[in-house]
Amino acid sequence: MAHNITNQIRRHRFDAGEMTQADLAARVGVTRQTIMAIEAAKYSPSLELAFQIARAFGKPLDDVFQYTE
Amino acid sequence: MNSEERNTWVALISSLIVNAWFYRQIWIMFHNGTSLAPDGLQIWARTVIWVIPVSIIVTIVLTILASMLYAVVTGERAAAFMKDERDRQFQLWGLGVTMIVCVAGFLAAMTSLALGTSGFVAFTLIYFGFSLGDLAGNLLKLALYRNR
Repeated sequence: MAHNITNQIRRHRFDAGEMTQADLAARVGVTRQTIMAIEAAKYSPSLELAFQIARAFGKPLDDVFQYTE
Repeated sequence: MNSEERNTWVALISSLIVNAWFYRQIWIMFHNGTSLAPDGLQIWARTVIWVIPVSIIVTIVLTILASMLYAVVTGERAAAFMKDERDRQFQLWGLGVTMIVCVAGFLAAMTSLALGTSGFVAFTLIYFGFSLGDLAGNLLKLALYRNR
């Protein structure tokens, strides 16, 4: 369920010097709209994309994405 | 709006234009008696074959117009033609709905044949299933792009 997965992408973008959604999208090879949807928790990324996003911030996966019951 | 959402709008408008033209031809055939003529199915099939190039041309023209309009409105010169996992997921869900409606159209056509309607009507129902399925699939994709 998409709403069970939360994320800290906004905060990590801020920590990375206000990295834009477009920059992050270019780094992980998706569209800016997909990053927007993930950040707003409207879309749950695949495991591979989640790892790529975490790697783009240089953080472990569970620093960026959390699963809540 | 990404390129795939834009393409879905183009596909939707293109199919509405082409299908409006096709169903107008079918309507004329029903009213001038072609549907009951011995070569009615052949004429129907020729009309369907014409749909293919007409559809390709309309889609190309609309794609160019949509890209130009998007560039003018947003100021983005380079169109990003990228398809990612979200696009593929929405495409898959849209395809699922399209398939269900197509099958329903086929079943409706077989039922109509079993009830004694002409092949012309049955083939038109099959085409109707395809066009309605295409419409439903595209509408679902647009709804997903707007809400997810």
